[in-house]
Amino acid sequence: MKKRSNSYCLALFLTVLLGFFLFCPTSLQAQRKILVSGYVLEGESSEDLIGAVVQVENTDIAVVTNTYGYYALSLLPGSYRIQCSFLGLQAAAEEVNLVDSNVVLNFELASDEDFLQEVVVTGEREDNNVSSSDLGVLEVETSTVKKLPALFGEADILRTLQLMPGVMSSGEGNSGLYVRGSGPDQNLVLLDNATVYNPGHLLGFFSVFNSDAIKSTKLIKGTMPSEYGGRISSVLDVSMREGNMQEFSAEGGIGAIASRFTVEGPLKKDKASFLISNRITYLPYLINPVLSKQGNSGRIPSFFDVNIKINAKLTDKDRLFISSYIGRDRFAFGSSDGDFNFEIPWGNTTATMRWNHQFKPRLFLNTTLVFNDYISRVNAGFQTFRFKLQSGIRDYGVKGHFDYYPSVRHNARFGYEYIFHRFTPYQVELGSGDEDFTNDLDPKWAHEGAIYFRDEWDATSWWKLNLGLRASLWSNVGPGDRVYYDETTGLPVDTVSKGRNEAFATYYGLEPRISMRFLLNPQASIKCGTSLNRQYMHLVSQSTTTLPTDLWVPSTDRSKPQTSVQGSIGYFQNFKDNAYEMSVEGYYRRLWNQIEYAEGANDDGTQETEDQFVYGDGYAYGAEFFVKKRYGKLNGWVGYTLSWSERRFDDINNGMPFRAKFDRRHDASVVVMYDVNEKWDVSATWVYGSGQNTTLPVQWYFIAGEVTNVYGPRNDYRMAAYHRLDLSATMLLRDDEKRYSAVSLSVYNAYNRYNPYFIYYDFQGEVSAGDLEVSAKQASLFPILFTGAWNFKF
Amino acid sequence: MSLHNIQRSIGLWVIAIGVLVSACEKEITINLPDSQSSYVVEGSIASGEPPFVFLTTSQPFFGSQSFNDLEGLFVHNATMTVSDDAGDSTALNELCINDLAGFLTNEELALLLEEFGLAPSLTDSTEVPNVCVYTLPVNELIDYFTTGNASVVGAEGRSYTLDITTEEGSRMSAVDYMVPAISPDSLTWEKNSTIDTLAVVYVHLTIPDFIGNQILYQTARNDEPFYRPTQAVWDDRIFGVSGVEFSLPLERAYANPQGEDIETFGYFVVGDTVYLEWSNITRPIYDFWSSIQNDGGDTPFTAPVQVKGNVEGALGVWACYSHNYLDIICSN
Repeated sequence: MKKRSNSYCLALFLTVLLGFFLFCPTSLQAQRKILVSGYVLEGESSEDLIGAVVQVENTDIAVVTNTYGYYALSLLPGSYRIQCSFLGLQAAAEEVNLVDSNVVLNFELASDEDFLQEVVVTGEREDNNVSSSDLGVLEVETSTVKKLPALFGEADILRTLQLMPGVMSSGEGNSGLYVRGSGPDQNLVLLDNATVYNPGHLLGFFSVFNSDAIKSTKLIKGTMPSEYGGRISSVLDVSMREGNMQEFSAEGGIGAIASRFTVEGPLKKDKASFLISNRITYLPYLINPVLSKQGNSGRIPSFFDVNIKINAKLTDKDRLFISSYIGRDRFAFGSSDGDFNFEIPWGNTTATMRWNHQFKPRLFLNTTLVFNDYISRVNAGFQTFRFKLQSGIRDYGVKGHFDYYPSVRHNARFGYEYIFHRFTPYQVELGSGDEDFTNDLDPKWAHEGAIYFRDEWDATSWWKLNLGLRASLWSNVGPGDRVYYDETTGLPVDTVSKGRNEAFATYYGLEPRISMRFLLNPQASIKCGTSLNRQYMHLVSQSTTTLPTDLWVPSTDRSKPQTSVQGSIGYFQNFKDNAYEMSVEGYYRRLWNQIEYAEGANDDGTQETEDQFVYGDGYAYGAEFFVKKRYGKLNGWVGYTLSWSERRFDDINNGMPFRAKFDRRHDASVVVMYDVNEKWDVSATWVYGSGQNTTLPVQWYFIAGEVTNVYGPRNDYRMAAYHRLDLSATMLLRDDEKRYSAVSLSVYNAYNRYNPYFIYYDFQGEVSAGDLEVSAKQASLFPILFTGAWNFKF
Repeated sequence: MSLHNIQRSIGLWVIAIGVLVSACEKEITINLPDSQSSYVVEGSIASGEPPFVFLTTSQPFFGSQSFNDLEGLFVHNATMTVSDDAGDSTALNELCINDLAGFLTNEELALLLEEFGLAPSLTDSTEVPNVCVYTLPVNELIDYFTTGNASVVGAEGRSYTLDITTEEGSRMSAVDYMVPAISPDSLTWEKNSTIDTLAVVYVHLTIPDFIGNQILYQTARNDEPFYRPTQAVWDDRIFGVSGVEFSLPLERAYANPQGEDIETFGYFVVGDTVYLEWSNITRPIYDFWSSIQNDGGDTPFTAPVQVKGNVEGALGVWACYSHNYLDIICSN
């Protein structure tokens, strides 16, 4: 809470500024304005369209629909022609004559068959990248995800995001995201407003997001709008589809390792719909028999997930959405006689109930009740000895989000959120015979709350300002005991007990967010922004991949919140009627109170995990270059990132700065999609990245006759560069009003490069025999892989 | 079982599957930064036993020093003292294998080295490497091995400080405390449920009235020396409750566990005489052995573990062990 006075000054300044911007234009308006508002729907399914443009024809007055397809325009009395457009759908226009009462004007946009044949459906407003004040925002359409080559035939939105500048993968085949030099735990991952704490299936090789059930994906890596908080790096906001209100349909796919099936339809036509989507892997049935024949006791992990959504129009002003995600993974192995067994089940469960209510045309409320639960277990046994380890996190939350349209040049958003967290630390249970014991670590509890406000203000025709402020609060509370141990003897020396809701530690702070856009001409703009973010919960991992044993821990009296300040600036340019877009963005991010395990830490369940943390600072900066061709038979993009990311901890690396694990100097991607003809389309992706940093032993010594490592500077060795070419071809078997059927073939790592996965030292022989030899070896994971998938819809 | 072990198990499994799919690994040449060698202390004093201290140096990987040149690692002519918190101080003498050549046969020397974790493969033509240890003078040591008497032996409840000064003037020091021994209750054994030639040995414990006790255990069978198993250290805080009884299966330890069959790994054999060395240790010594057994390298699944020693000015450990010994014959 240092420098709080500065924050207060800034907040006061912003609040005054916001109040002025928000209320003056309307209060000074002599003539009463009339509001035109409504929803924009996709005609075929009646699903809401997010980001559709509603514009008064022949003027620069335009708004974009919100997450629920809602818009509102404030206009003077008169006759207007209101046009609504959404890329890939037929535009619609309506004449309205505004006299003295507000008007409700809903649009249903039909699909544009001719258009679809010519372009890639992206769902973006054509010049949105230039005209909006959003900075560092990436939106990926599910249709694009499905066109690209896929590992094992599984289309994956996170893997597609990794092809964008500023977003890096955490390793071969891994779907984890490193955004602008920060760690994967510093990304807020939302699925229909519920936090997903472990977004990986199969130990991170696939994301939990089933592309058939996903409506939209937005990654905010730049200035985070004030309605988002709790993380210091980025926001991944994923929305599930709502289901077809008009007719029943089903779609699915059979891939190399998993199958998907989705069914949707009206519960009551035009009033309510449902969607159920299921994905399950059958990899174990393919591989396990092979492993068994080879005498291997391991078992391939399995997973399944289910997405469910119900959507109902209660009244003209009320809509209800209920959605849920349930995903489970299981990994196990054991000896053939069963005396030794090892099993790790884990999974996420989320549930969301949202209620949209339109109080007045100018005021729109979305209230959300959220439940999410992540749990991981380890069950191991040896003869009659049993070992169980359990950890997880469970949240109950409520969020209220208001959209307020005071005038045509203002779009104000404000709201609140409250989450009650229950953290389960590494709870160990030992058993032998009839006896069972636990390490008796209490769950940890925390209240997290925030209020926020922001206004998107078209100050002039060329200057757009986005001002936001978020005030956040965190309180780690009882009931629970805090045990302190003597460092030498290991014996407990003190215990602090707290009752229910008694605080162990409380933190709060202000988080200002500012961004602005300067329109140079209709096709070019400069944007800049800055934001301060606070993160009150931490995932301190000892691995670079997503593991089920990863543990979320709260800020307590010992582990303080992380904070970051990011500033970024970018130039955005479109060419040839928005057919091409180009951008250059630079960013600098300063990070405080970063958390790592201490060197030599041993998280064995005998002490609080946070007792093994050490704290430090860091920074990241870089430049991102992006060129995209949106339309035509040939389209795609090229991205390049030049970046640095470093950390410094007093207790790591002898206090010297070191490169972050995910510091990658160069990162490039090339994506090409080509519609060959009506039957065939092909695509290719090529990625290049500087080698990942690793820590290698530099010296050795003997302890008890065993070679023991002395590690060199942290992350000091950079492995060989990573590059890979993937190819894909899709053949359309049938596509008419009743059926869709297509076969896709993918080639992963087409030129069979042995990319480094990690480096290890291989010891051969024994020192006692005088023939011990050591060599360095590089392990690689995936060679060239051919996979196929069949996708259908009816 | 710790988080490191779980993650390492997952990692090893993924790598095994990866190798099954691709068999992608290749030898590479890496250029490591220059690094300074450090002194390495491996010293201990156990209850009723004199102190033993090995003083060696660490060596760079891919340097000129061969792994197999044990003699080249040892630091000679250092000045060492062990003092306790009662004010008694004893100077340690450097004793090398060659000094004992007149007293012991090659086989006896090899057995002695095995006791220290060094197991030379001897043939008639090979020489026992001239390994050196700092301990009591040779005549006093022989007297100790024959009569059990020595001028200084470890006593429970005492702290022991080790001070070292090398010929070049480098100084190292460490202190540890010999916690009172808490003996296990007994050993029992039973046959493996599917392979009746294999035996599982259980140690039965009563968790003390206060928890926070750390254990290092080693096992031996028949005339083999004691070896450290893969999961050798325990902290009874994991039980979360005191004053209760518990049974723990003992892991059979091997000289080279990597080469063992997974199906029989950890089991004793019916007919074995099984020996248990159960040592109470302090938390820093627990952390030292934990960090050694947890290091799985820098992989996508594990982070490298820098071994946590307790010696100021050197790598390694100076440890006090309160030994308890039990044995059982796995016989019908």
